[in-house]
Amino acid sequence: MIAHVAEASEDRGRVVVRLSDFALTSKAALQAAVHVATAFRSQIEGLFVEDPDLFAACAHGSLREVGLTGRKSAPLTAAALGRDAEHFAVAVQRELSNAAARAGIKFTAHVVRDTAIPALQAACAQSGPWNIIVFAEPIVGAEKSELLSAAVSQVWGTTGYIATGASCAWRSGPIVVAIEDIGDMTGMVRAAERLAGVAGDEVLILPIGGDEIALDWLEGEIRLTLGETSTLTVLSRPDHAGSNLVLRASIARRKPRMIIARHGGILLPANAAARPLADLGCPVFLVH
Amino acid sequence: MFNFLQRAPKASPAIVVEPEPAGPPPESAAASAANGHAHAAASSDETGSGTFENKTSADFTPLAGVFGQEAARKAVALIGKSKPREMFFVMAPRTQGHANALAGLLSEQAAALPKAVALAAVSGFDADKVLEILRLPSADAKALADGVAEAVEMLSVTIPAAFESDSYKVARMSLDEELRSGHDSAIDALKRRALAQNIGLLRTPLGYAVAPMHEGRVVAPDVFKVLPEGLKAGVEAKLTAFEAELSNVLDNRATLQQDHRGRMRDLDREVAHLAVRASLASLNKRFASSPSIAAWLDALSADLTRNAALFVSAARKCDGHARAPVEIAQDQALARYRVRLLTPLSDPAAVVEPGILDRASLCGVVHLPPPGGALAPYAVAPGAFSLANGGLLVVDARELMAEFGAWPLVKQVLATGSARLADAAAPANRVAVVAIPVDARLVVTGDRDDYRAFCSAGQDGTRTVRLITAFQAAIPLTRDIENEFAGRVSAIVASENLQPASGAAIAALMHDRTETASGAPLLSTDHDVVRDILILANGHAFESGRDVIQAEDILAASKLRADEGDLREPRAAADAAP
Repeated sequence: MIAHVAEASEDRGRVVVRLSDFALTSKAALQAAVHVATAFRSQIEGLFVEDPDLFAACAHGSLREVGLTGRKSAPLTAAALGRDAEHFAVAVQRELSNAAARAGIKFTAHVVRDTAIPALQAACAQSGPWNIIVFAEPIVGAEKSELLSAAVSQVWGTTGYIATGASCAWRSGPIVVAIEDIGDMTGMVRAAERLAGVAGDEVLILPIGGDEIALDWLEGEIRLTLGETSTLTVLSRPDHAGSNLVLRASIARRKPRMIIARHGGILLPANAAARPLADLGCPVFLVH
Repeated sequence: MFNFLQRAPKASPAIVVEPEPAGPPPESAAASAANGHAHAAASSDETGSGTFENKTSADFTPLAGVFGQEAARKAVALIGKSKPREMFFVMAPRTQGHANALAGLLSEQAAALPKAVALAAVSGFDADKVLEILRLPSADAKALADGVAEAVEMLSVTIPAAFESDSYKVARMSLDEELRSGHDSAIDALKRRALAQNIGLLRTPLGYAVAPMHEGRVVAPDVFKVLPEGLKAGVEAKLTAFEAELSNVLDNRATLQQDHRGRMRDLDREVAHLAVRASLASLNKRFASSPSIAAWLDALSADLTRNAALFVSAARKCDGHARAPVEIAQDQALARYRVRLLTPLSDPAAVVEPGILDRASLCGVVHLPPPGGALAPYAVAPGAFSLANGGLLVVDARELMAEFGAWPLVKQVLATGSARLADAAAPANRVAVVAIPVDARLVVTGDRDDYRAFCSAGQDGTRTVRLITAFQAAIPLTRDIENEFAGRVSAIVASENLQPASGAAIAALMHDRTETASGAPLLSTDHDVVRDILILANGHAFESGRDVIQAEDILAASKLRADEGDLREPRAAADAAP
């Protein structure tokens, strides 16, 4: 795999931030997007995706909004929805553009009315193949986990995804590379070194295996690949006694700035990423 | 004019004291003294005029202290046998020598008093009882203060570590996930169930909306309009039902969150309790047999457990850099866990003389947290009553009378046995709710005039205060007193490094210090004046080329002191009058 994103001058990719349809934006995700764009000298595109079904439903005239507190409000009209949607889009785009401006990164904003996957496919097809998709909303619940899985499997022209869980934080800390397959190592480590270079972070390499034998072998291979001259830190395998929960807790304890991991592996299962992302407590750079 | 500060070199022991020059008996008392007679002819028979003849000060055993010291010691012995909160008026002339002697005697009496319990101010851990005063033996007080400080320092390490442990994080993750899955699963399940019946739950800017669906897309309005009425009614019924169910699910989120917070709090307390229990184990063991201390330690344990987050936040201060346990333990937020000793732990009991007699100085000051801010730190500065706990609080009668409200306050404190602290945050002299037990004895000092004023100025002194006459301004001159006088002179000569005084000089000095009242000679007990005259006389003798102080030196010194120093003291005889 190649965990890479095109530089701004290449016009072959960028950091595409998928701004959600009326879900709370994760500040950690936005900061991670800016950090990645800084590391790869790329640009950011804020893609606000409106749900076409919602606007279609408004035409019924009798559609009513049930507030998050459970209170029912007046019938939802297309005009009211359009106004609210615009305000929301402007607000989240501004938040992202401010973060990009502070880092001196070029930013563009788009609003599309489409379902999420086709909207992302279209955005990545415009300039590719080295795009990074950032999910601005936390991956919470089965529906969002499925959206993440669908994006990973159906959107072409990407080299990685950045996702955050509930209550994720952006902070100074090491870049942790979770290696489950030795074949991923070179690309992951290269990306980690580039990300770590922005703020002079430490790179920690963490082997993750299904059993003792696999772990021993993987750790040996990692050390062999890095060689004796490497200054990177290889963590001894955590004593998680087979519990992924303990494994995630031991990673979170190191308070990483970001984790680079494979999607669909032990650390982040394909269709159940919500809880691991929440447990890890920081943005995760997912590779295929 | 000689310099009275100039000291002559001490006379060599080899120098022989020359007898006083012979001559006709002088007519004046001074002349009589110059010939070695004790004092005026009128009193010479009664006091033995030949006492000092052919002697010098070196021939008398030096007697330190002031005149009447032994009698004073016997008089003030009553204080050493007194009970707490008793009040005494100890009468003595207002001279430095008497003051010093009295201070020494009072210290002796304080040392004889039984040891009092120590007082410690601790947090009451309650908005209604911010401060609590513990009474315990001195050794226990120190052990408690040191033990709690040690426990807090230990907790500065163990509590943050406990909340950083993997086991805690895993437990917390599980609870977080339970909340998330509890709510999100409910929404997801409702969405799936609705979709199975062709109803969609759509996210809107402020919540959710329910709409008819077909093959995963919202049914267009024009399509919906042409549906048969029965079908449309059925869809409308489903929309209403799912809307109601959605409302319930969203409404239930608050209950789930409340439940989650409760469980998180229980988890935090469980984790903190393990650390707190370990840190207080030795203190709990030591004070198990002391119900009041054990009860406070229980309250401390509960509060530490409840507010363990204070330790975590204190550890995180300092721009994210790690803080040393000592730094964390000294954090202001943890000040409420300090045990403040209000009474000195020294042995014997203290003698305290407060400089100012207002409530703050006498009773102490407390800085209480603002109302409702029971977590805020407090501070206590002990007052004179606390510092004199079990010992003596010595107050000058004039200062007591001069300070408005001081005497009523002192009386009230000693009558009730408790001193209410001044509230530092409130206007002057406002009283805080906190009271400190008082076990001190009050000693008011002053001369005879002070006592008269004290009694006559509405101070109800005669009813509440026991009078002790420690020193008198003048005492009848007897043969024993003459010898004592010579001994005091000998002590002054030795301590001030003066030339020896001849017998005549001693007699002249004694004569100078004697007055006659009601036909009886009375010797002034003002030790300071005797010393002053001897020093001046020593200078005079040195300038005159004499190596022994003679009577004429005494006379010259006395005159000089009166004329130049303007130091003539009030007449002792008048002061000695009943």
